[in-house]
Amino acid sequence: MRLSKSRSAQMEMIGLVIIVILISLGMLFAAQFALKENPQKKIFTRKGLSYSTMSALMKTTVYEPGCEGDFKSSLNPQIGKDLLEDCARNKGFIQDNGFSLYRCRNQHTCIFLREFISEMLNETLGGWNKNYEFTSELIQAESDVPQPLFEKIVGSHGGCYKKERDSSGLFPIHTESGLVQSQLLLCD
Amino acid sequence: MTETIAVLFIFFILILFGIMFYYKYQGVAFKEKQEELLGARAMDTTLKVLFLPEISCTKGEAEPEDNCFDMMKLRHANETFKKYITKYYFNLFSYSRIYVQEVYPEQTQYILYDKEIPFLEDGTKGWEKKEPTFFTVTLKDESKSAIIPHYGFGYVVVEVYL
Amino acid sequence: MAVKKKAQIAVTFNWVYILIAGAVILLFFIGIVVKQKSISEENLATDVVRVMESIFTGAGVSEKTKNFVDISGLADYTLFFGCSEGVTEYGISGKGKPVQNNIDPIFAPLELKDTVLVLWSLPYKLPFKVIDFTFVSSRKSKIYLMGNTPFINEFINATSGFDNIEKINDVSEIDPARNYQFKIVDFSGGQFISQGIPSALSDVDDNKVTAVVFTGQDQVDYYQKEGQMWKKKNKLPVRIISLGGERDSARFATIFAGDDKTYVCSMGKAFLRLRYLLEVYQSKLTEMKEFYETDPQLMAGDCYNYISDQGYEVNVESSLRSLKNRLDACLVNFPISYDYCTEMVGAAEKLREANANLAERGDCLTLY
Repeated sequence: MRLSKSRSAQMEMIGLVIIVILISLGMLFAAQFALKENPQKKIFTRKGLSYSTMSALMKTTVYEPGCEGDFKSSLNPQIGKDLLEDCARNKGFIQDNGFSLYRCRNQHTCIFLREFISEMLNETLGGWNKNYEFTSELIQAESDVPQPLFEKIVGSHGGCYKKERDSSGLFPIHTESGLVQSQLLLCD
Repeated sequence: MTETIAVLFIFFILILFGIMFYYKYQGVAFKEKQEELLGARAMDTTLKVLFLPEISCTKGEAEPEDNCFDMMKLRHANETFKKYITKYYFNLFSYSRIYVQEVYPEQTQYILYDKEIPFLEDGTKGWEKKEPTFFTVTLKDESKSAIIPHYGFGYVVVEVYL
Repeated sequence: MAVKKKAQIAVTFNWVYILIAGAVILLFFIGIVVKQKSISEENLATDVVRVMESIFTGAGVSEKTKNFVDISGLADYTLFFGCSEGVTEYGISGKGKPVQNNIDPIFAPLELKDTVLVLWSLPYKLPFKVIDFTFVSSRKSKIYLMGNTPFINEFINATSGFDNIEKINDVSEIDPARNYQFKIVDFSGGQFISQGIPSALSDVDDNKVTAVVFTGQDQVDYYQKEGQMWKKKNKLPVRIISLGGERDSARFATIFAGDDKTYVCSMGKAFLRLRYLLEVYQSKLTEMKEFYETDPQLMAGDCYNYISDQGYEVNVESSLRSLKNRLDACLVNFPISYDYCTEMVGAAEKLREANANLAERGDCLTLY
């Protein structure tokens, strides 16, 4: 009886040892998976992409029919320099037949801008399944409240609600009507 | 005696399971490491392309524009890359495909560099995976007007092969 | 009685078997641990070198930005940098696989051992940007600047944040402290060379004390400590091939480079890149000419005359051709033909002038 009890006790000990070994191994593997690196490079790339997209967009020269403007302005306007300023200046006339210096695609500049920028972003960021939001606001001298030049542009895959986001930074343009601030938010 | 043998048997079975599990884990870890290295290579190659003097915009002695490609150089750069691919540019870009897609005003694609991993002896593809990286760029074209350069909109795609 | 004795012997032997089995199992696991340790160290070294490669790529393109890389984990290891036959090799001495790079000019001491690596890159222009030079230094790689030239102040201002660069009036001011290596950069003719090694550095290892002496506007000599005397490393003065001006990367590179061989080797990489770049610019020039040749009025204008070799004396086309010819002569038997590379400076200056003439007009296409 005593002998059998001691044998059982030995087996129990071995069993316990095996369990301890298995648990330690399991914890080791679990720790390796848990201590994954933060995707720093991913954030850097997103920020860089956001900035470069915005920068490229602002510089883009537009060749649409109707974009000639008046005799003082350049034949082919740029989005950042010419069109945003025109939109800011003539924001009050934002209807299809409202006045704006440039009438690209026979539309008011603000309407054209929203359409054009949406197309550009959709062909690039949208095509790469990125979530993004583009905003352009006018901050006038008299008022602190920024007024959107046009409705916010949201990517077809969604905007940036409650997600990690990176901004292109504010791209300010000084116009006669005030300060125009444009921003592109990119997020996962 | 029988119980001891049984216990030892179970013990060695468990060791075997442990070894098999570790072997599988190593396989997965290796694949993950390969992916990580591929991603890093894609990043590095993209970075190099964005700052390549062969296609980057210049502004005389002033600071050059960021994320900008000079169309007058871009249109001809691939000839140089192709000519010296073995001597020089392969060491820079390795097995990858780099092209610039103009989005506006034209929809032209400029393939700058294309070096695929060669097919294997049995005719199968030499690469099993490719990781594309996209980056938006501005395309400066001075040939449209000497007074004010014109800027197009496009993106560069860098696909690295594994 | 006999049964009892048998049992006693059996028990003893059991313990012996247990001890042997235990020892074998223990040795087995110890063997695995030791093997894994050395494999891990090799893997770590290779990983570190791979990460360094990535950091160097990033630092190389982030022009004018200083990158401070924490390498305190490698404080016990020595990093080495070498350049030979157009290939830079760097890694951890005795561990892992070093990185080989035949593209990027890297100017670094031959050895480094520190907790912080300082990386900086500047574009090399001749006259347009050819490539980025990457400079590598560390807090314990002390650089002493001697002399009275505006370049010293420019260098110290440009390298603010490095914390290892100091201006001194005389070698007696050198205090080794706990630095790893020392470099004296002299702009006053190298008179200290004849005086031998400064007393403060007499006990430092020979390979950790070097000197760079600017003997002319555009040439330097490299020296290394040998006992208590200085030994000149280069047979002929090492020429600096650059257009001068602010933040002259080729001039800065002479200070960061380990010795004359690695300097010339890295410069060779820049010249090789220039060769391919010139082809691209040649194509751009062709397109520029076509732009003006489509309109006879434009062809008669100043812009075309500054571009075409049929126009003004200083023009882009002939300057570019001249630069290419000089470059070919430079690379024909590099690095033996390194001195021929100085001829490129004149051609580059002409090209710069021609391009500046175009830019000044405001309505001309420019080459760069």
